[in-house]
Amino acid sequence: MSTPSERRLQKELMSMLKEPPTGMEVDTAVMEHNDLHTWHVRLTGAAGTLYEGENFKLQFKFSPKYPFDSPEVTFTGDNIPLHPHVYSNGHICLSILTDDWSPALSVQAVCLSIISMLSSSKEKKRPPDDALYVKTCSKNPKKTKWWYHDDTV
Amino acid sequence: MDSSSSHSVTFTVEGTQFSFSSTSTRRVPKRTFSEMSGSDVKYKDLGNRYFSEENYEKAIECYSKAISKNPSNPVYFTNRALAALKLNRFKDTADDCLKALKLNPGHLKGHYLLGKALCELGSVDEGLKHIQKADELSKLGFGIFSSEIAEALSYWLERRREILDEKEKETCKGKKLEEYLTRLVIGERDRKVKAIRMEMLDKSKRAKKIKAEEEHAKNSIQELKDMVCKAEERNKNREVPDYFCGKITLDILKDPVITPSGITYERKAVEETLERIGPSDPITGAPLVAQQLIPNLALKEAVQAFVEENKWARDQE
Repeated sequence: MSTPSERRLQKELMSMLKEPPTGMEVDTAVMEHNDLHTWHVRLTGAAGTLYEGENFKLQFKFSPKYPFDSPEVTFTGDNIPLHPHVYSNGHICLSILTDDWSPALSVQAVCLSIISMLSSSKEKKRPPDDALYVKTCSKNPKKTKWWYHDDTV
Repeated sequence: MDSSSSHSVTFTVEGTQFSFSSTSTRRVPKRTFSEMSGSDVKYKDLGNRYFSEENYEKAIECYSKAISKNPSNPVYFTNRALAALKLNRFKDTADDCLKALKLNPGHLKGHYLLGKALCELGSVDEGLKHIQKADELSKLGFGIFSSEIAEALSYWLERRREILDEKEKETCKGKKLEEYLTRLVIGERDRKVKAIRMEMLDKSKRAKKIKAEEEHAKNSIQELKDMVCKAEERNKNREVPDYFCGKITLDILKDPVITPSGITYERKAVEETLERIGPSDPITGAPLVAQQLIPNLALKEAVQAFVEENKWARDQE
């Protein structure tokens, strides 16, 4: 018997596998034994942006309360994008991942937001408080009290 | 599972509890009824009495009280599960059995009732696993409860065979029809060719006519094949159209409600959103409270019509 949360993840996965949106690809190899609670998605930087041609890996972790709980989303792997909202440990400062989350959003919508966040960046640099944040933050970025202030990037 | 708890097999005969426990690995002696804290046992006994009078609602109430006094006895959960089963509340039965099995993974009645409930809920394969587990446990525990388990086992194995047969038939139907119609087309062609041969015509005209008949038959067979292929494709691509699915659950709508923004959601999902996330429409962000949700009856009817024509859409749940 599957829970509503698992059924929804299953549907999201099927639709992403059937019609892969540009610039994102779900890595099904990590989903051992059909465990839908952790996903890896490969992102490709959009053409004509600072990240063109670069590949990144996003990790999604879903609680049993998904989609009423937002997923825990971080960059992982050895290429963490240099971006003013992305910390060197992979944490992302993006309001839809916490305060502005809505259950009508999806993995695809989150990926799209992140690609667009990368695309609008004008300078490849870490957030100014990177060193301090990475030293003091919780492992789970959802536990961080983010201060969303910069809508331009 | 608590390492000091005993492995026991428990069953009910007309509302009275009997327990059998394995003696080898126990470190702590199993508590007897008289040693158990008074009140929860009292509620359980009262529940059993209601149960034997077939007053299952009252029995459930009593077992719930016993559980709140002592949540560590799996028997209270399985008793409540059995009462729920009598009332056809299969989901409740399954939930309680899972709790009992968490307390004691080798709980015979937990597996047995969970299996029955899962079968009733449509997960026959999963359910049969638990009934089989109960069967094994029963053999270990002096064959207790065995006739009931055997009966359930054979009943659901038979049902599963029927379900598989039905599916098989469904997929074969198209193929069989295609074969039959192809035979008809070939028979018709042969008859016509024979008739042409009987006609008094010159050779080249006859050959032409025969060729035309053969061509015609070939095309008909191909058309038939394409049609069956398409139908099978449709059968395989069993997908509920997006417009029949809730925007949050992504599942076929059961109780669709529309918001002032004009967006339709599954009632439970949007209500949970309002409760957990805040008073706004999940998609548009417009202010929204539960009282503003209006049942979308037209869509509900459309979904029902769709399910009526595509029975598999209901089976997916």
